[in-house]
Amino acid sequence: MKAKEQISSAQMSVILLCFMTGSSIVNIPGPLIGYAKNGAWISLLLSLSVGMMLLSCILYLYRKFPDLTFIEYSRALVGNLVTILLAVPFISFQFHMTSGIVLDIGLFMTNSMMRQTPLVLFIFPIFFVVALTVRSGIEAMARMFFIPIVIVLLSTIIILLLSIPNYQVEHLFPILPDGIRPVVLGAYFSYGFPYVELMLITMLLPYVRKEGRPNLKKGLYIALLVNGFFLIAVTLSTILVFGPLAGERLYSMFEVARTVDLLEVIQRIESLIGISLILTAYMKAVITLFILNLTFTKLFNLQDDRILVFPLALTCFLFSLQQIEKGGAFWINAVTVIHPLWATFAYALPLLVIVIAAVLRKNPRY
Amino acid sequence: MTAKIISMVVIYTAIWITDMPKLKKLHRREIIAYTAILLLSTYLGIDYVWALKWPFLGDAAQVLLGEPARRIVETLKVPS
Repeated sequence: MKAKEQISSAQMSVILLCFMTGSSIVNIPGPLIGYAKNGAWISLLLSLSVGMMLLSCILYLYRKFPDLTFIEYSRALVGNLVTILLAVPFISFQFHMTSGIVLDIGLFMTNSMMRQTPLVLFIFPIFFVVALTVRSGIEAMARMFFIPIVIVLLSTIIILLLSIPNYQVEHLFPILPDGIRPVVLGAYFSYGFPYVELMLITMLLPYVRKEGRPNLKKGLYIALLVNGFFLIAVTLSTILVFGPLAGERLYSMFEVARTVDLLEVIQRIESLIGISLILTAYMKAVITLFILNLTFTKLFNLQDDRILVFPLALTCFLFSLQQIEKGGAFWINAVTVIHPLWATFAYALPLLVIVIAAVLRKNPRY
Repeated sequence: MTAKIISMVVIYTAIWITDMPKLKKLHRREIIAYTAILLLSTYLGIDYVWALKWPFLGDAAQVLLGEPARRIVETLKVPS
């Protein structure tokens, strides 16, 4: 019999940090500043608070069902039919996420570094490596992710520090030039990406070892706060460097790194951010594909939890290509306009339904 | 298009070779789930090879949520 995979609470917190920081650290500031202008950091504080509330709901369910995934306790609380109904948007959004994360890497490479290279040449190898990592299991993933995330966070700190000579404090003011509405719009956008996505960890928490469970709550809150700190720091840095033009920069952190020129020796270090984007997006794609595979496995009660990995990776790969073949405007609309609402129906609503069911139902059957 | 067809055939063959030995030992339930996802990928594969722009999840989200999502953004946007 195959032994159940287990990870420590610290590894779980690192996975959460990778998942939340992955791709958002490079992709969030540009569109967020475009929406909320100088109040983007307030938007992030608002959406981070929502993230904290979602995490407390997730931990409440975890306290009640420490050995079950979201699909399993949903089945115990609301029955099979409602679980299947909730799983439809849940799975559809996971497909959208997995394909979108890898597509982002490809678009970043073709927009900023290798313009003549076909997109498929970036997307396919990444999906191949992602699928292989998922097949190696959560223990291997957890052991592997620590060093890359440290590299990413250190690179970000270095860029933020080296950009200090380019900071202009007056760019931060006025904080709310158009009132509170743009800030709320920014909060809505950053709630959809990445904070509501936090709900996916409900699928991973049963992997935490029994002895590590008492420390898990603290570790997850710290991971979320570290993520919030870095997103706010990166957003502020972008505003401080570019001012009113910050919202027009697509990969703003990459552009910030481009401006670094210290003593004419330390320059052209944007590749650090490029590598960070690829690393973080890869880690996030691995976690998302792992959860997508796990969702199918639990939903259909499959014995083998690896058999669907390659077909799912192939589907996500083709979905990536399909999304971009419909045009850049279609993709941007999907990410900036539809994404938060879709995420609400796919993640926030099922979580809310299950939390209410867990509060009301005293003796679930499982 | 030929390159796309060849690459898809190579990918499907590689997946088939990798998973076939395992599939033989599995239950019917696993085989049904595997086949269903492979069929889904075939749908997207045909769409990719012939650039047919068939509808999928993105289009479904656009139809179901596109309008309310746009309204939310428009309501919160400040006219410039």
